[in-house]
Amino acid sequence: MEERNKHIEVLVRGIIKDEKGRILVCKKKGRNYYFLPGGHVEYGESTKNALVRELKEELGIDIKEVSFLGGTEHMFKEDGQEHHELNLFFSVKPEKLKVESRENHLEFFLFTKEEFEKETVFPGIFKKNLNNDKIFWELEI
Amino acid sequence: MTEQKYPEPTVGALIFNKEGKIFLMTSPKWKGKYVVPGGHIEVGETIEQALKREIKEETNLDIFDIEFIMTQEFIFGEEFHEKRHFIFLDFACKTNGTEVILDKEGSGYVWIDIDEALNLPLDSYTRKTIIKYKEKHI
Repeated sequence: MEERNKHIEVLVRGIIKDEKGRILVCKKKGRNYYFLPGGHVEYGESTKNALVRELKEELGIDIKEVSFLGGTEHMFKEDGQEHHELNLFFSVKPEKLKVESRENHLEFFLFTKEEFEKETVFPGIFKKNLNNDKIFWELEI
Repeated sequence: MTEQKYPEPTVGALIFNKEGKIFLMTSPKWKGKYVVPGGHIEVGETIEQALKREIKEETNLDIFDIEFIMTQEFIFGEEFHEKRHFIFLDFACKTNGTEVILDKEGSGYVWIDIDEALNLPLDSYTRKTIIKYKEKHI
């Protein structure tokens, strides 16, 4: 039976680049698509704190600088469940970049710009804003 | 068991009329301060649909030319009459409408020049939205 989450999920995602300009992406083991690291904002938690917490949990990295880049709304179905997400993107500068996962179900990779454009990375709308420093807001329904 | 709570994404907009004035209304839920109209995005509804619906409900105005201004976080602030966690998505838009009909969300309204608006008793989040809009449109 199809089930729809009864609330809109608010997520924060970090765009983290290494010294070569490669972008950090995340994948659930066994899936064939990628997403930007981050996660859900909890009730009562600020977006920045959510991002700091998620990146610490997933990668064990500390954050030096965070700045808002933009957002998108995203509706999709996964494993029979419909989701309605609001994704907020931040440019993140870590103290020291690590690419080793701290969570068993997640894998992390550094993608060159070409790889990022070739692979399936959700939410896809971010791809065309990759080299754009202007704050954006777009729909991806 | 208490119900699980989540941050609530909401939309609001500075509405410009044909004379270039903005619409602001006094809100009982925001301690009588002037605010932009708006409200919750429903599950399955786009931001644009939510904005058009909320503004129609609260003001009777139809809007177009929607432009993103900023996001703001409201976490358990004193300014609202209840303890809530909102993610505000603030936009600017236009209307050709002139006949305003308020619902329970508004107790009064003005059409005002954007610079003069800053002299009104504004809610601080609406003030930030106006200032941000002005910065983007120098």
